[in-house]
Amino acid sequence: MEDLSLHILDIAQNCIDAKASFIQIRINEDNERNELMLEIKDNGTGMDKQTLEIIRDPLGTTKKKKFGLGIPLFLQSAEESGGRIEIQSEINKGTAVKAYFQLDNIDMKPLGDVAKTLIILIGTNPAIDFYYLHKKNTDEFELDTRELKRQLDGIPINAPEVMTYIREQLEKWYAKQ
Amino acid sequence: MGKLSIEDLAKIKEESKRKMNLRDGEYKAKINVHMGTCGIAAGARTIVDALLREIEKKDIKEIMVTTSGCAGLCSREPMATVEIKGGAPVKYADLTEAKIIKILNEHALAGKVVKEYALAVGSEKTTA
Repeated sequence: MEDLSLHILDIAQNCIDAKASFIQIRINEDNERNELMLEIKDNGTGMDKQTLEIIRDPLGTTKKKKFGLGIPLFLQSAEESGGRIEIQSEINKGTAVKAYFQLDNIDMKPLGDVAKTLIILIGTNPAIDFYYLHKKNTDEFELDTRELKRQLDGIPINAPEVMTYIREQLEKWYAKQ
Repeated sequence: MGKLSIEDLAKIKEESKRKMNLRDGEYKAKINVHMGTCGIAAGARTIVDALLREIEKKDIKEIMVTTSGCAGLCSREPMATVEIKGGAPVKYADLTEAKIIKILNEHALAGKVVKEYALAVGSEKTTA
């Protein structure tokens, strides 16, 4: 993966596969602490202890389930740049993946186009709700599709004009960062 | 602080409601882009982004864009499957932005399979 925004998309696809109805994505960039925290949390099916133990292993398998490369690649991106990943999961409650990165590490991957990742997640999964919060030092951008849907009152969130509006707002905020 | 405003949304809502009366709200075709780890690493996000932008630009309401996991042919990613209501699904491989826009216009909207980009059209041979 070239950047962190592609990892976010990849991990969020796991949440969708886990039948999540609500996915939370939080980014906290803190230059003073030289840290970027990235959290992806869902209310999906969750994983049992056995799966959780092997999830970091690229060839891990629980026999019934096929293996995946999403978490191992994300882990590699974090560890290469002095970062770490914490995964918490509970059956029928959901999963939370939290990653910490050192902002000034020379091997730190760029954050990439998070706006693009979000637009795609919202646009192709209108039935799933997303909460997004990006904090950057003292500034922040917040988006909650539950609130948006209430305001839209029956208009689909993936209607072209709504998507254009969300895209513009995201791009506007990222342009001034 | 960045946040979406209620006033803007109210405006969009009114405009959408006005337009909605003119359409039946039924999806004619579904474009499913494979977005497993392999697909994303091969550029599937660019494919979905190109699709969504074209749909917004042309205000297309009858096409649904969805995503799914790995289709089992990682080396041919990015891949997408187009399914027209009542028709057999067609898989496309080695996609680029230009290819997916052509597939959107010719197959999803006009109903004509773009054979040169399809993974397999009439490739099976029977030897009996």
